[in-house]
Amino acid sequence: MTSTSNSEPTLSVNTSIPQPATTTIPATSVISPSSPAPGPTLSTVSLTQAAPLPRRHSIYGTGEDRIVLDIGSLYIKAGFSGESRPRHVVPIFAGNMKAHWEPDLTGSGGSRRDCGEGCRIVGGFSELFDLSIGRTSEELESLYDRMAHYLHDIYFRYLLTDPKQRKVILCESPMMPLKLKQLIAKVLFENLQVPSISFAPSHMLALLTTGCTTGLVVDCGHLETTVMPTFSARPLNPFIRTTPLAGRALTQTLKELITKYGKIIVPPSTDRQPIPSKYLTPTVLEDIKTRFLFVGPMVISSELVSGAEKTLEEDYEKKYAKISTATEIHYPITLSKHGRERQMGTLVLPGWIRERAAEVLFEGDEDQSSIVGCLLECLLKTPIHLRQPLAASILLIGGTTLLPNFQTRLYQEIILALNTDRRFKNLNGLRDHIAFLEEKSSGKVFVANCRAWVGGSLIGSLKSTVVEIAREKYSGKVPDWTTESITRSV
Amino acid sequence: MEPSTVSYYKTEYIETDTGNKVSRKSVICGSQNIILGGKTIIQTDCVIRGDLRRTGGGHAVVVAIGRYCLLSRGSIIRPPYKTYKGAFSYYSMKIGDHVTIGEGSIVEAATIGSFVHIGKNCVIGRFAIIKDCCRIEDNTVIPPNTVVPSFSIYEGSPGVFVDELPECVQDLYEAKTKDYYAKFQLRGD
Amino acid sequence: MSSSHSHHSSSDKLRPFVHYHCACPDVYSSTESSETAATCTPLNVDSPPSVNSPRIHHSTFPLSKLYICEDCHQIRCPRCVQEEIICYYCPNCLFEVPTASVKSERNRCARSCFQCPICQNTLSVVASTEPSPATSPIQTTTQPQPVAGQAGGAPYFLLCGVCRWDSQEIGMTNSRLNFHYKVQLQTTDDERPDVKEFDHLKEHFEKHLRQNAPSTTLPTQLLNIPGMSTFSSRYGTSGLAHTNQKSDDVSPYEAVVHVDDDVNLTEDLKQLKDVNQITTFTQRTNQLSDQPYNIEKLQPQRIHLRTKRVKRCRSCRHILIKPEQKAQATKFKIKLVALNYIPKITIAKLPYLVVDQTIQVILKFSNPLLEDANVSLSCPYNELLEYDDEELSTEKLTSKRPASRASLAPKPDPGVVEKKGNYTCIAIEITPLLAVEEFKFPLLVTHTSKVLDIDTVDNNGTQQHLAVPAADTTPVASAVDSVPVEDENNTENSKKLDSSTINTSTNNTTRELGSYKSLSFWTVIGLGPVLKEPRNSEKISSSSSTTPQPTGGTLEKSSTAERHSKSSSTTRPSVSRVSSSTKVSGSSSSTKNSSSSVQTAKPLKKSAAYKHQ
Repeated sequence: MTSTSNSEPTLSVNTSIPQPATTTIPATSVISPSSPAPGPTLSTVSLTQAAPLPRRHSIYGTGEDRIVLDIGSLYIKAGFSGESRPRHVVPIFAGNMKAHWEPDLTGSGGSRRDCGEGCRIVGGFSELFDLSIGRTSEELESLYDRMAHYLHDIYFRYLLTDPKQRKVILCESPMMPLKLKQLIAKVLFENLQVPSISFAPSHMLALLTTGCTTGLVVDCGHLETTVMPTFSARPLNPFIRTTPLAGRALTQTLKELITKYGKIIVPPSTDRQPIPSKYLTPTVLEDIKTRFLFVGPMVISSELVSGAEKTLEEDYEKKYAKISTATEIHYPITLSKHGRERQMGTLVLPGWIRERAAEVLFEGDEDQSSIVGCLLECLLKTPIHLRQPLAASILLIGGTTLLPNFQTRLYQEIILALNTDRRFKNLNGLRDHIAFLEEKSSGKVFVANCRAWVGGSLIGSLKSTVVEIAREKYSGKVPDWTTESITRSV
Repeated sequence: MEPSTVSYYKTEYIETDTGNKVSRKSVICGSQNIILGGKTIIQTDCVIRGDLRRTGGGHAVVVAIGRYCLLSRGSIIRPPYKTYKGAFSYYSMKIGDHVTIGEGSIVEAATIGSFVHIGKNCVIGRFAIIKDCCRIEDNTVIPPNTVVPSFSIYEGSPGVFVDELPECVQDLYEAKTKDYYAKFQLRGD
Repeated sequence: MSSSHSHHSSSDKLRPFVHYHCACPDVYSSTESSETAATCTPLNVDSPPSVNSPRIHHSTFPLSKLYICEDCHQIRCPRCVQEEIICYYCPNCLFEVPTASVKSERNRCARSCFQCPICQNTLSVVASTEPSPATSPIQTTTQPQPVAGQAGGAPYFLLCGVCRWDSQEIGMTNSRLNFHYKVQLQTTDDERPDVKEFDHLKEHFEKHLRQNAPSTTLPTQLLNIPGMSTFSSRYGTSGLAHTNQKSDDVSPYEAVVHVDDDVNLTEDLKQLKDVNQITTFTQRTNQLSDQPYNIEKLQPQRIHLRTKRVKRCRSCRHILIKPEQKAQATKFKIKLVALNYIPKITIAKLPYLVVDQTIQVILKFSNPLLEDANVSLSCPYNELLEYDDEELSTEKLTSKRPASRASLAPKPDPGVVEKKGNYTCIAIEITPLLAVEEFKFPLLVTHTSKVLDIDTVDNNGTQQHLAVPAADTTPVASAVDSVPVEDENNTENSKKLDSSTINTSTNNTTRELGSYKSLSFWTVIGLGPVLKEPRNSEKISSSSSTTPQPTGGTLEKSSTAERHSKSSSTTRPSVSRVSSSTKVSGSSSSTKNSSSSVQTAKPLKKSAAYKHQ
């Protein structure tokens, strides 16, 4: 507990001040940046009491530590505030089956025994929600059940803490559907009875982990990529740009490429056969994606043959198969299971697929901008005097940006677009200013897929209060940031 | 499904004074080193190795099995072994009451508690300890030296904790093994 | 998951089941104002659960997972209990961990309990005096401690019994048998760059807060999202253009550490030969400090703790489950499980289901109580009514099958095929209309039993082993005590049930004794797949019900029903497509219980806990 003396504060702060009553003032009343308003959501920090307090929170802490949750569509990151990394990253499984439905390939032989005390919720790796969530009430109800199931597990199996005793900070993507947000609040308040929830914008949180308050945060997660400029700790929401080119699009491309160009060897045969799509389960694809893919260097366009009439995959092979030097890999895959015995096969993955599957992220079209297009469009929208500081502090977060070489390639693409794309000729002057925040500050000290969580942990540990919705005040609705005025029924 | 009555011919099983029912087609080695608690059923093709004793040791019990246990067809009970300070030796194994061991499972555990269900085709590795009130699903491989705490469901290869068992599992397994014993009857004709 | 996975005989893997539905008051009826809540259809006994909704998986449970709240006289499920952790323990060494150290040890065991970084199995401590196992092909590049130098000190190391990983690979050895993580891992943990940097960041922002407090507005902004109007008033019109150091902005930040990108990573990946050199996602998430790609950077992790928990009824806060505090104890001070209160329903006979063929399913109802109990059943799908969840109404619920249909059962009681000891078997006729992957139907069970005296409440069946402090049992006792029996019965009926449905089937002779309590709940019964056409083997097995051959065994042999081409297990057939009819014969049965039969069906000690009046 005392081992972290390197930053023992000389001025200790009075942690025992009750939360100021002002926390419940609607946040709108403080957004008046032109005048230094008495920031009501900030707790005053007393300097009068100099009694040294341990920096780390009470081990019995009932109010100090908050639970920080970052609920993504594929993974939930969960942990305690004040810690430099989440405790757990929990992958999502469909959770729409009971164990009496044996899941696909892992199923053991047939048996007609009763489904009894071993019965549990199972399912394959899958998305928890979609951006179009809530079209039908059945879908929402089902999501509610799954969310409740997961959050219960997170509290009682992973974090091992009583939900009633700890406030919650929820990292919120600006594009998180309101229905989803309300659903999460409902589970947390009604099912788990947490005392309060603070919604915090994930881009902003991620930015704080670099120590900066100005930056262009690119969140490339699973469902979509969002680019959010933040200036002087103010997220500039109107300028957000999004594109569906993100993890899911990559998985889809990967699947198409493997289906077409990958081969499978089924022993005892040594022949390479086409891969039946049933083997390319979401679990297998995610594993390949997170382990073996990387982003190849930019190919100079003269080497490319333009093939507008070709399909995407044919195009890819023609472009990249010859110039790639990446090795072919042999990936073991479970074909079937009988009892304890598994029949294994080998999936043969051409090297160029590993290198070039991610091309999809950098190739936009009329319907969807590439990530670079998205980024530059965002810059183009921002007021002219903000462009340079923003362009000089790009921060990449989200799991998809963990692909090796992603950042270098993105940089190359930005420069290329600035030089050649007429849409961005107004931004041409920024060419020499493009820089990434990670390089300027602490580098990869926080892993990009957890940065938003770390930021949540950081603000949770600061001796300031954050805007929160208390359970007593919860009326079934939570404010949406787009509504601008955060209103609460008193 | 409600378990149905299983009947056997008199020539198939030996019934002991304490109600143990042991198949004549099972292989019981070193029976002087094996204790059955009573009302335990050992089915066809089971193997219990009571002959693998501690080297140099006296007349110790090697395999102790409690009451109302069921060793299903083809299951194998073999004491665990290891080399300690250069000496190779077998060690004893204890199995509690109301334990079901599924068909074709191989058990080399150090201890299996009471109210334990081990599914079909499992391997319980050397010196594994399975505490009271556990469930090992079919086809699970419990690695050597693993401890399975109470109220756990383990599954997979290697077996990992997948869920908790409900609180009533003791009553459940007790009733189940008693029910099975009651329905394991001598054929009338 | 795509539907193609279950191509091979997935139907074999469906187990028949009887699940009990819990209406979970707080899940289904919540704040009206909430948009989500409004869309949640309240479920109660008036309307059967929609068996094809994905929700059914979260609201139905095997009997063994349910609890009974005696105060509310309701079934409680794992979803509608509140939990409180009372004990933390390590699942490997089984030592209890005091609450104080749970937090500081981050929910992990502080003893010599480690899990393998490769396969997450428990590692064993091994002495390297034994002939060292064959060295793994994976050789570490960085070896802080040369292993060779340790040979004299009889070093111990950690070994995985599954994948043969050993800690010598990363230079982790110890001179003593006890591997203390503080020596091995924790020291490096606090020095990890992310911990340092995090603390530095915290200082940085806290300093800012101190300096600017209380007049600053900045940190406020961290969580307040200004709209466009406020933004433009500030930046659009005012000329603050090139000064990004404003009075309220934080001072520039200097990072204390800088972790560089692994420059070789891309090149290594490009030339990758062995897929096992790259960590899996699971391996990375077990080492969240850096989530390395390279398998050589993985370290063993301490084992995560588990908990014992008290469970309370969410409505009345009474304790339903109270385990003994000790980590290794398996007894309970309070254990109000449904198994001991409501009838256990099992499927005693189940022939194969074939489209348009009427078959009989035998359901066995076992009474866990010493007293007689009445059970009445009703099923919303009667006659040849197509069932569609949307159209289902209470009116269908009440319509009953004519008794004459029960002629199939050769007993005087309609539908009752066997009555013995503490159980009664009844027959249900079923005619599936469509070939589906899993045939399920809801069944409303109303269980009426004599109200027990306080003392007869068996709260755990294990009292003879423990001296239970009186305080622990008081909530239970008072709970029963305060129930006004007759009122309860009436309100129960009027509130939850169409009383006419129930009363018609109640045995009047037993009713006269007064103090009865009834509990209605839905069950969902799954019978496995419906085949398009019959096969010879099934016909035999279905007709011979009294053969000593285990029914389960016979069914198992012939269960290769992959003929139907329904979608996979994840994509459930939509409600409208599934139409079937279920006929309930023998809608009323009375389960009797003699004390002698109880002793065979239940543990002896159980009956000792009862006091007969």
